[in-house]
Amino acid sequence: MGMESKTLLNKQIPKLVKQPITRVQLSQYAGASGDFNRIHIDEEFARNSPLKGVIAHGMLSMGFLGQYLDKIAGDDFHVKNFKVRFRAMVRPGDTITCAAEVMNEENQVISLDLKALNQHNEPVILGEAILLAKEEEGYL
Amino acid sequence: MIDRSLIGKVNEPVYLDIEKGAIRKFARAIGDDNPVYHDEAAAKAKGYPSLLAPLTFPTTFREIEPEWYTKIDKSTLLHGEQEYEYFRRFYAGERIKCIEKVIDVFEKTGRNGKLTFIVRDKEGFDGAEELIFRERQTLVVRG
Repeated sequence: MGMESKTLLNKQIPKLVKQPITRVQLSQYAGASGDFNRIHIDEEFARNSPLKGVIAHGMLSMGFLGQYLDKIAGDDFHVKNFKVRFRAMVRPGDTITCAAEVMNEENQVISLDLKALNQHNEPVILGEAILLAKEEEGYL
Repeated sequence: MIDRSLIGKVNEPVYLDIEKGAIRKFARAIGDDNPVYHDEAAAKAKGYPSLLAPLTFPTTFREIEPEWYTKIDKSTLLHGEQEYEYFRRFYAGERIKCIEKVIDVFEKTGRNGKLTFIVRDKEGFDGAEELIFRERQTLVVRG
């Protein structure tokens, strides 16, 4: 890898804008994750619940952030820690945008602030991640 | 009944075979077209032994849910927080041992009544019994 240092400092991290969430996607995600909680896939059940309609799996939006994070880490970093707090409901039709900001970078350890925002620019997830520079080529 | 007596409760280890099809299906549901999740040749070109498991893939390890979880009325359940610590990434073709443990249970009373918080960990170990990830989840039950 040589002596070049790996850094995200002073780099604007492009946002990731996802396609609007669909009901089909919630079924797809239920099947892929094994989370068949009816609040995500059963409209009638969900309408009669306090939530008044289906909501997306929180883990789907965290999955978007995971996609984003692996992209940011690229070939130079690996993800050590990834933590989120779910702040707001996400419904079918919502469009999620992932955003990240470097909070600190020291000795090849990077702390990132993560946000998943809906189309009204409200945070549905707030999170943090820690990336470590890869010391050598290849996988961990 | 969810109360502090659950703290420390550990499940029997569950073994999971990581399959290429499951990784692809998961990445597709998220709308993630990163080739390392879909195309084995692309993953190998990165130095990975096979398809890479996405960062949140351990959430699919829910073969056996603990009894206390199955008893929760899911219309009162909220997902509060989720955290991952990674010791290394894992790949299709591996067998992962998964152990789940209840870390904490506590109550808070807010404007909308009582909330019960449950913190649980899921730890994954590889074939050499090395810890490869720790997932920590905070669930919130209303009422």
